[in-house]
Amino acid sequence: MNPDYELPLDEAAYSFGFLDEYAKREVRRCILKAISIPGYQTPYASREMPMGRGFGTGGLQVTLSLIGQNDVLKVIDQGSDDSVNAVSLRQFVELTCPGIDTTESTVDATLIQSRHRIPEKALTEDQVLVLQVPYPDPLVLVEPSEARRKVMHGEGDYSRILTKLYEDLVHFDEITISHRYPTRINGHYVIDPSPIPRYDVPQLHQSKALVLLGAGREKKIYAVPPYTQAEPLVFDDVPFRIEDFTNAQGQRYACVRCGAVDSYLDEIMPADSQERAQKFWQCSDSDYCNQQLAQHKLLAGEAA
Amino acid sequence: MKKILEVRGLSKIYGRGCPQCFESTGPEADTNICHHCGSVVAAHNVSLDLHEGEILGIMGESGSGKSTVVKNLFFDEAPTAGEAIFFDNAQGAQQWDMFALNAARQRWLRNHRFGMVYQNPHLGLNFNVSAGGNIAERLLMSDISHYGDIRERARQLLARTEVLIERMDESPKKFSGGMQQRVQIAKALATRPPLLYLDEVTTGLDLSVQARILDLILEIQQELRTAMIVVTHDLGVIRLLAGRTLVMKYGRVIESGLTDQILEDPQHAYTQRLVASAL
Repeated sequence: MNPDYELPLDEAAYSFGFLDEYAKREVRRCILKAISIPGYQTPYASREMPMGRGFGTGGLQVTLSLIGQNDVLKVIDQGSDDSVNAVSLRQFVELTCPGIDTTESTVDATLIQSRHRIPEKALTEDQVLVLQVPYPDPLVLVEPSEARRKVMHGEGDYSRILTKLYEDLVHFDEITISHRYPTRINGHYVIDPSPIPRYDVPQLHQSKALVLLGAGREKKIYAVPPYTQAEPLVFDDVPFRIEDFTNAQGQRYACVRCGAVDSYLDEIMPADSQERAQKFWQCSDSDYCNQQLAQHKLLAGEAA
Repeated sequence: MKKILEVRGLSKIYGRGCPQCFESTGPEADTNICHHCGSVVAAHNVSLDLHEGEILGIMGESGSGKSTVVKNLFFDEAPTAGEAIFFDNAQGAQQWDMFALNAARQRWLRNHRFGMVYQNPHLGLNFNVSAGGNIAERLLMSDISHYGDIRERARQLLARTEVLIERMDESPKKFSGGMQQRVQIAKALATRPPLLYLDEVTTGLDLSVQARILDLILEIQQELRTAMIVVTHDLGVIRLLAGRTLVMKYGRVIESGLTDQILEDPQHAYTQRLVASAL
């Protein structure tokens, strides 16, 4: 227990960061273990949060145990700062951690909690990325028994995941995993990197920022420490491919809003349209899109 | 001839076991259930030697412990007592004390050096992936990770075991029993293991299919010099395949020797009855 601890000024009946100090300490201890054994799924006592499991409680507990008065928090949901999940999580942290700052800018944030995306802008050594994880174990698809999965992880036996990839290649001529691509960390443990698209997987490799992955329902925390190898599972002669967003003519779609051709795009079909022609593409990372727009305006202003 | 496997005093008890277990079971006691503690003594004091390229038969009625011996040697189960030494001639005459190894090392041996064909294809094959995928799985377990190579090897193996190549990407679910058994043999042979265990491979197949599978096994033995332990209750299979044979009853080896001798001149009363009762 923190001896200097004081109740927040509003005399709320809970500690700074909602979780009590013991709970936060336990989570931090598990985070340390997860960092020491890169990719290992550390079990922890996932607490009840005032929201349903599956709404990011794992990531939230990691965030709440790490956040301090000097932190600047950014919360993203599928790249966007303004979607429901991001907004409610941000409001919850603002409510329970008085005095912290929140931001929508990737560069300004010290702590980033994200659902299903890694920010487009490369992270720095001073930043920590927390990812929300629904299914932490990549072996769950091929082995139902957790006891046996633990042995398989311990022995580094991932041949059955590779068999799945083989089957994909046989039936579809390519690997069809679009997100949650099994990734080997530091040459041993294979993790489920949360439902980030394949596009984001290379960002984990030798990442400057610490990446923490928290699963609330499954009660597991694991980590990709800074400057650690993260290699997607592949065959020697079938290289890993990311989404390329090209049309039939091989041209890359550009963001309809900012014109970027180097970002992960969302494919958007207006709800009332039946025609494919009306489909458009837009940056999934809203902060990146805004930055690009601002830069264009700046350049246009200088030119004028 | 180089020795490949040496088993000494292998015992397996299912249940908690007690000091009287071994005395109160066996052919003399006419049971394999210990009446003191209720444990089942599935195998006791089984010793055998196997040489390169040799086929050893284990025969006996159901419940005699023949499958238990093979399961222990393939690390499907851990024995209660005994030791087994595997002579790995591929890596400069190394010796492995099989039951003293850790789990990872045992798994390595199992994936790289041994092969197993079960009576029931459901035990040996993964029915959720294609026939080729089953072979790929075994190759991937032995650290081969080149897709083109894996595909080529799977194709060769299935061709060798006379499974239609056009059907290699189908699930073995859609195959006949004989074909499933062929896929299992192809899978077991994928890593060219020096030692193969065959547990009742032909049981439940019709006679013409049986004959072709037995032919295949003999061809493989001639071609690759694979040592095999063949477990069966079928005297015909023993006669055709095995050079030497063990006869088991209630977990004990009651007779062993050259197959011809055992079948033509059985010494033990039980073996005599077994041979006489064959159709």
